[in-house]
This record gives sequence, structure tokens and C-alpha cells, in this order.
Amino acid sequence: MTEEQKQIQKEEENESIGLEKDDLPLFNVLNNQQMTHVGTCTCQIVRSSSNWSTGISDTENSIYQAYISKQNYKFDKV
Amino acid sequence: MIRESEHFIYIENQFFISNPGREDTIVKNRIAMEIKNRIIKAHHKGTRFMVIVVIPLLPGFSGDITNQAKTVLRAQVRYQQQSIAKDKFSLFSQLKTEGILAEDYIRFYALRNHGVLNDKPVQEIIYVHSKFMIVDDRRFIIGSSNINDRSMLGDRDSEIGIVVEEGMFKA
Repeated sequence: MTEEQKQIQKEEENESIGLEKDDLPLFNVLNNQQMTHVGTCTCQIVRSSSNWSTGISDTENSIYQAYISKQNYKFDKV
Repeated sequence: MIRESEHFIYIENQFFISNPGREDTIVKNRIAMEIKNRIIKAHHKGTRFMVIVVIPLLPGFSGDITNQAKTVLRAQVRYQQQSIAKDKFSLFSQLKTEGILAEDYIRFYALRNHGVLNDKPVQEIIYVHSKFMIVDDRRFIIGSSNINDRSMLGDRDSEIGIVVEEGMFKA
């Protein structure tokens, strides 16, 4: 393989790895008319997180709280 | 969710290291104690209630389980045994003290698979790595957190999960 061929191969590899910003999917907030599939579930994201890990002031153990009781956190209707 | 459960809890997790309500341990999370209290409540009310827990047969740490040295593997197994069934303050023993046969309400399962290698039968542990709980077929929590202090306390590992509750089905 010549130097030139190697260079071309390298460029091709880089292209396949690097995603253009425009290619990335976007999360859009839909209004009620746009939502064609409406479920009946309520859901809530929970986490374990602390000052040292994410910089928040109070430690959060909402995963643990959720395991114990659903009274310990609020559900958001989705 | 354990407190609001009505008849059935299914848990799959890589670990089950939890405090069943004992003072002689460094384990802080009390998921096992919540399960114990829920079982006692069901027993006194006379309602049918069952908890199924699926965990790996052995925690996935290197080392020989028969080696007397204080390895991480043996420590993990010890904490798990203290949580489940091994000494007098474990979950099973505390239920027994309450006059309850633990097997009537909670069962722990682990899995093995088998196959053929070089014309010889072989078997191996199925290493359960799921982390979820389903309650009454209506609510579930799934995420990255194991049932142990590292995942549950909040000020140690960062974890994320989602709780989903099914609404009422329309007839």
C-alpha cells in the first residue's frame, strides 16, 4: 500500500467514525395534536446522585425511595 | 413501591445486599426490611403475597470461594448471606422469629445453563445483570442501580432509573 492509499484509507475511517452535527437526532417537544400515540402510563426518571459526582448541593437517592414507596416521589403524567 | 404492592413482586438484580432490619451490620439500605414488613403484613392479614428474586449464584468477582483469604468475593457472599438467609438476623430468620415460613412468601432463584463442549457436558452460571423490579404487573422500576449500598445511597455511585406505572385499561 502506498502512502497515498494509506492516507485515503485513514480519511475514510475518520469519516465513518465522525458524525456531523446535523446528523444527530433532535428531541422535539410535541404538542397534543402532534402526538398520535398516547399511552396510559405515568413515568418518572429517578437517580442516585451527589455533590461529588454531579455537583448538586443535596444528595439524591430517589431510586432507593422509589423502591420503598411511591409516596416518596411525584409521578409526572406522560 | 414495595409498600404499595398488593400481591406480587418480581425482582431481578445482580446483587441482593440489603439490611433486613439489623443493627450489627454496616449495610444501610433497607429494601430487605421493607420486603420483610410487607410479608409480615400479608401474613397477619391472611392475604396471598409472593416475592420472587432472581440473582446470580455467585457475585462476579475473581477469586476462589474456598480460599480462606479475605477476598472481595467472600465479603460479597457474606453480606448477601446476612441479607437473605444465613444467620439469626437475616431476612429468613427474622420471618421465622415472627412465626412465618419464609418460603411461603419469598423465594430466591439463580440460574445455570448447560451445553456440550468437546463432546463433554459442561455447565455454567447465568450471570444475572438485570436491575429491575415489577410490582403487581402494573408498576416497574428499571435502571442501572443494583440492590446494594453503592447504588442505593446516592452519595456513592451515580445511577439512573425510570419508574413506570400503567394506567387503567380502557374497556
